[in-house]
Amino acid sequence: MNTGTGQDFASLLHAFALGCLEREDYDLMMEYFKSNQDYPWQELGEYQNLVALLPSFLNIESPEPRVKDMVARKLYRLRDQQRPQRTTQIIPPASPAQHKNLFERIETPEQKLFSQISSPLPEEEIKEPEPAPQEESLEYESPKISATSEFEPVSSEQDNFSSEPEKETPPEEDYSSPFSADADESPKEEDPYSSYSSYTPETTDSSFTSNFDQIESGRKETDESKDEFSFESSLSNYTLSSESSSQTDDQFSSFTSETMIQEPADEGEQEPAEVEKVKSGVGGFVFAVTFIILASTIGAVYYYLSKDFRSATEKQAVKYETIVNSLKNELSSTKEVDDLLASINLQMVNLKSTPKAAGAYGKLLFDSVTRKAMLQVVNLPVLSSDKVYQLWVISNKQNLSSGMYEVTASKQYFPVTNFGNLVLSGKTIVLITEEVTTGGVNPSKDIYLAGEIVF
Amino acid sequence: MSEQLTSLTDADIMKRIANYDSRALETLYNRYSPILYTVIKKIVGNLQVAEETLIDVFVIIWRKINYYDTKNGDAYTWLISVARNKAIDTIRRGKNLVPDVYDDDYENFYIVPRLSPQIDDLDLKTAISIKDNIEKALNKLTDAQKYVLFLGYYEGQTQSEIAQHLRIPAQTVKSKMKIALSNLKENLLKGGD
Repeated sequence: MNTGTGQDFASLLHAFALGCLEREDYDLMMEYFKSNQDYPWQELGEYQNLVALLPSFLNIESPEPRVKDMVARKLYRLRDQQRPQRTTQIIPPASPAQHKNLFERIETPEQKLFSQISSPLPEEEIKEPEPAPQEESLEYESPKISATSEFEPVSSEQDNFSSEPEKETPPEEDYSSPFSADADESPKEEDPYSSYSSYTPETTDSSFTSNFDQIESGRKETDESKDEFSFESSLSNYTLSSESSSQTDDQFSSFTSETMIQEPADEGEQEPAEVEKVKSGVGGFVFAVTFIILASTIGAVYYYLSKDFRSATEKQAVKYETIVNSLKNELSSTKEVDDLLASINLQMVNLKSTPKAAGAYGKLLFDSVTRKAMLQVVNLPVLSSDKVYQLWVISNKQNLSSGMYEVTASKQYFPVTNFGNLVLSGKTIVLITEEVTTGGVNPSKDIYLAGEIVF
Repeated sequence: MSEQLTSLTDADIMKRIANYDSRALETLYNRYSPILYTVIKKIVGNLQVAEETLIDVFVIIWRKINYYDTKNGDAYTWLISVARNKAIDTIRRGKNLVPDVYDDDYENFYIVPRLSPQIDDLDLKTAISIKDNIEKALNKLTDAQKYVLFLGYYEGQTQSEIAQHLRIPAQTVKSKMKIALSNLKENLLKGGD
């Protein structure tokens, strides 16, 4: 394990790129990345790309077409699960990762889900069937299983591994080509992209869109059959209870007719004592029925009251949870603003309102070195649910969308996620425009705030 | 629309996915599922587990796309890394080597790759076009170097686990790994010749 100096972490670069760091070292390295910007990033990037190229010459196999349907189904289920979780403040970052933010968040997993998958699949995309795209340039050929045995692990006796760092002594066992066995079997073709050359998506008409359609219709059928089943079940229950009720009535009638008011066959009048007995029996019965009705009424009232109470409690819990989540978001934003304001490299663009947003104003704060950025907006009107605000940074005649934001009355600060690698030079214009929820490719004419800075 | 999507670069497709375009995700699936499935199957070694892992990987891509830096064009490396990390996690969990609960935080930290902010663009087309060079460059390494890379990348063994496996000091593993990757890079820069 490392002691935590920059040099130590630089020496872990190769293992980090290969993905085989010790857990403790990985955690420490993440902490280091969080607080330090000095690292041989270029070298790390080169090795990460190099390592990712290792599988490129394996014999390419294609998954079964049904796997594609399964992916669609899983995403659909995910969409169903997460839709109800949408809350008032949904700000899906339209783009990139700020790696540091990844480690600085204090959100709950649920909040992360909200922010990350808040609008997974627009309705129109689900309902419009479309032929699956043809990946002509990405076809591949003849799946050949690249068995793991192609590189049979060496037995434990790897004594040929020298402890000398520089001199490599091949082990005696033949684990000669862990990576190349597949490639040796594959046909050599001139076109470097040829491993995909015969690949044609087999489910040409089973696009995600149609898959979702099928899933949706399937779901409807299931729901209908479920409803029908429920209805029949309740009907049979009802019948059963009616039958049992009539059975009870029959028993009761037979009881009354045979026992209670049965007249003696031969006697013309009843004995007074027997009459009293009958009267007291009827009185007891009435009392019992009254008691049962009262008890049932009290039970029913208690049930409904407790149900209402539970319902109210659950609503309160949801409400408080929303408030807590909102406060956590605010706290997180405030912390990021504090960090930003403390930076020596802080730059700020004042955003002034246009006639569309009289009284509104805003600021774009960013660190010119770390490229962390925050957007503050005040008094911007809350848009309808099918519209969002989109932040644009226009520099060197290039429009960069820096995210879409759903502004609410209570939220002022928004982390800007897509600010990382923009080359800022000369006159740079910052705009906030109104766009549809999927965002625009270029800024619309509905400009609410605008500002500029010259570098 | 589909025609247009298929002509897009990997980076452009990723940008569209970042805007929750499900057709773009389908295009990405059509393009990348073979290579990702191949990587996963190579690691997990089981058809059914590989399919399940591939499904999980595309769900992760969809859900965690905002961790991908759309300003960079390193879609290939990001996607391969997600698939590799998920597959390694799957086999290590199967061996009870991962004590953590698999939740969102864990996924963000250990499955979603942390790529260098200064990384060159790399897409599938480029990767496939230089695969022969990669193979040649790799074949120039010693067997021991190849084996260390294999254990680290495809087996997901940590440096200490590799050291234990090979019965050599951890420092030696570290050194071999460094030399192996450096030589691989150098060989590749020479065009694999």
